[in-house]
Amino acid sequence: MDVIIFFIAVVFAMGSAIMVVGAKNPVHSALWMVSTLFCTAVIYLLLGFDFLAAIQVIVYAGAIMMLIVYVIMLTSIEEEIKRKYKLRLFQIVGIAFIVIFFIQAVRYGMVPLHGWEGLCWKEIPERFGSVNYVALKLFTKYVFPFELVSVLLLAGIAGAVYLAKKEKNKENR
Amino acid sequence: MIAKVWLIPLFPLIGVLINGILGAKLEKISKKIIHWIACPAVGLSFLVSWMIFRELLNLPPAHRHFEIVVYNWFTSGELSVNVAYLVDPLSITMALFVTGVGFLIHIYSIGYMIHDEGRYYRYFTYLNLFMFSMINLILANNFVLMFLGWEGVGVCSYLLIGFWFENREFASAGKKAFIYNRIGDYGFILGMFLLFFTLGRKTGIYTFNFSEIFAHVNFIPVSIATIIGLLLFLGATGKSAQIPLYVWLPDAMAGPTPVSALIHAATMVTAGVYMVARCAPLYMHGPFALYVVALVGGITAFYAATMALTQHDIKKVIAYSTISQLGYMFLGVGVYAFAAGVFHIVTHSFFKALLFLGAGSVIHALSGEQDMRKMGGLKDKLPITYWTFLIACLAISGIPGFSGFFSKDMILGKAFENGYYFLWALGTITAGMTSFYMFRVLFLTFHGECRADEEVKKHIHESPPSMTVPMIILAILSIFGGYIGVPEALGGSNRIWKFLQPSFHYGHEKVHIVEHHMSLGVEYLLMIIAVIVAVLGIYIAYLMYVKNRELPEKLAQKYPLLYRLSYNKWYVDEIYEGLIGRPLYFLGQVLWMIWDELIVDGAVRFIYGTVRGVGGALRYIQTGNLQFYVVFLLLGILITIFYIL
Amino acid sequence: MHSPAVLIFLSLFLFCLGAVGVIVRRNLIIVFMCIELMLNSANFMLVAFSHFLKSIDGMMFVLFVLAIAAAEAGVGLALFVVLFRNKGNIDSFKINILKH
Repeated sequence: MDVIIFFIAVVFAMGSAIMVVGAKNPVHSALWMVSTLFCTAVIYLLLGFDFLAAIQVIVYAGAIMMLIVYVIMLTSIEEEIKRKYKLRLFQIVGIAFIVIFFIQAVRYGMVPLHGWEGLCWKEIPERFGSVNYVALKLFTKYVFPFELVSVLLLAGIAGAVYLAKKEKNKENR
Repeated sequence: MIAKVWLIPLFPLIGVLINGILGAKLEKISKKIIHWIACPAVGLSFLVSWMIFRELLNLPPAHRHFEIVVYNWFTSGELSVNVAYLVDPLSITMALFVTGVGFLIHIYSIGYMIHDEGRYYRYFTYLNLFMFSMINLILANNFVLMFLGWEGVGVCSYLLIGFWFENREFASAGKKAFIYNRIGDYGFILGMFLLFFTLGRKTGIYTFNFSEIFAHVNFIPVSIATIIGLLLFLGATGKSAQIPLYVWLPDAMAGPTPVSALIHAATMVTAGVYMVARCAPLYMHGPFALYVVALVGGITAFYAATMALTQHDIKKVIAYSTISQLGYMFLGVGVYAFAAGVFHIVTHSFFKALLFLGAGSVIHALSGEQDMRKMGGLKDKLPITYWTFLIACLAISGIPGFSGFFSKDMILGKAFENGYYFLWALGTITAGMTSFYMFRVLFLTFHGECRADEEVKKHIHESPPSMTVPMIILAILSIFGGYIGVPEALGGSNRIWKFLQPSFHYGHEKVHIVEHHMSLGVEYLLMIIAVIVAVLGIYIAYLMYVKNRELPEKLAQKYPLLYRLSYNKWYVDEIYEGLIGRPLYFLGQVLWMIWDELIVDGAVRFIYGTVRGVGGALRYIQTGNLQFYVVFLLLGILITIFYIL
Repeated sequence: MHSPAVLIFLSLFLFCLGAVGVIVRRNLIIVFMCIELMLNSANFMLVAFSHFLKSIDGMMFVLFVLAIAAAEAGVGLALFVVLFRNKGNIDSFKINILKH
């Protein structure tokens, strides 16, 4: 059972990602992104990381993507219609390189580890990935990065606010 | 005092330093300070020279050879060059008259140059610098220090000839002197180095010291010794104005007259003769070179005299006379009579300096007039000048009783004695010409009516004592200075010959030439011939310039070609210019067009073009497009991953 | 499962897709989203190995990466807003003041 869900999730993730890159309308693109994130969350769940999956959906798919949609609405509504599909030379070169990279990476990174033997869930430790366990680790071993990240978030907020502030005494716009 | 021989060059050096550095300020305070520093400097040098001379006389002849090392200049491997001075009869003789005559001329210069504003200190600085260089030249015990002095006097010559450099012609005369000197120096350097290397290779001794070189001169093959002698002589022709490098001397009259007296009569031009005399062992080892020296000397003497016959500028006549007399000196050393040549150096310095100083006095009196056609009748107005000038003319003509007679007679006598009959004849004819043109000058300048301009006539005055006293002293020396070399034939003891002999033999017991001896009768005959020729010359001059004034004109019209050749210096300057000057200039132009324009500038333009091109090509990477840069970023990362992992 | 092959494959696939998207798309917001996609793919691989090596450290790392991604998104989007204000569009080909 799990295997089927797993493979559906994988396929959906790949498809959504292709649509992210390929969609004309940026809002569509954003929505497909949400789908991709959701699929990855599902896979996390299947792997036994419940807390992470939850966080992924709430933060990534929820907050961040919402923010992105917000900004898309603010900025790029007019861009919908005109889309020239001409690819410049450097882009083609870039795509070529990436394709080569992909092939090489699969050959050297994935194939040696090849094995489609059944997914075995029974080996997941009981509390591995649960909230309790994560919290325990977070406040003992990883407390320092935890604090730092909070500072970072504060900095991010301050920076974003400052950047986007409207200047005083501005007539137009 | 011999150990302190380095004092002799030291005093003028101090003079140079003080006057050179502080001179401009000192001159503003008072001109007296400057000449009170410069003249005593030379005077003290003379004093020290005299004291060393007396000490030397107290020693037996075999012991009169000292080398005093002051300090080690540089050492390179086996070669060690010191600043060291050689005290022996030859060098001390040179030092005596160089410092002595130099001192007299310094005093003369006070009166002559006192009116030059803002330049008084410069003059005395250069003069002292010259004395320093010359003393180094003659007292040096090795070729390198001698060369230092050699170059130094050349530089000072340039500085002093072009002293009034605002006048383009004077500046260019200075340049001419230095350039011809330099050409000669090239020969000198080549000779010096050839000597060094040959001696080193044959004996393993690497040295520039005279005593060491001459002690081993037998190890040098005769052919090489000849070449060295010829090369060194080339340097001498430049410095002492012989054929082919003499052309700078007449033009050098552009400098102040005391400068002409000192440098071009008494001291610098004798450096070449001194050098040949000093290298006597070398020249005796390569006899052909010595023969060339004598030949060139004789021919130059005759040749210069022909040019002196027709000049109008009083200083130019005396200049050609100098070249001619220098020819005599080279003739003397060239016929193995080294002491005779040196003797003539000494006497010549007396009367030639006197001639120049006298000419300077005349020019000073006539407010700068140098053309003899505008002189005349100055006998009564400038009595001291006249009488001293007369004494000098008698001396240079070789009239018995005066110094010139003894030295010239010694040279010509030795020439005849050692078998150089052609040169003897040349020398005797030249003696006749010498007396002719010198008395021509005397008659034109001092006798007859005064042909000067009215304005000039008003200001004619005898020179101040600072100028006349040195002239009188030199006149006395011109008379009595010859008595150090009275030959045995006339009852003298020929002291100078005996005094100088040890300097020319460095431990060679075997003398290279077979000494002939003339019979007494032949000697007397030669003397009488010389006197007759001299008096004949005076008589002809008297005829042409006192009794029958039209005679010169008529002669000139009768032999126009000879006259023109003589007057225009045989067109040698023009020949040099056309044969050498123009082609070199042309070559320079060609090289400039090809090398400079095309190659050098082309290389620079090439670099410029390349940089520009590359820059232009690389421009296109800067697109400003973010994603363009991302591609490169990615590329870099991927390459890193795949090449490292 | 006995091997993480599929997971690695997925991760690589998402990564390369994101890279292509960065290069190809002209709308800067979509470029940003593709960057987030790449980040997500990295997270995914971390999680995969965390599962297979039975170590919680991988997952912890992912948590922090997530937080950082959030902060980065905030600031980045603020930048886009400002950019739009100044330029009037967010077309990467038109923003080229650095051009020679």
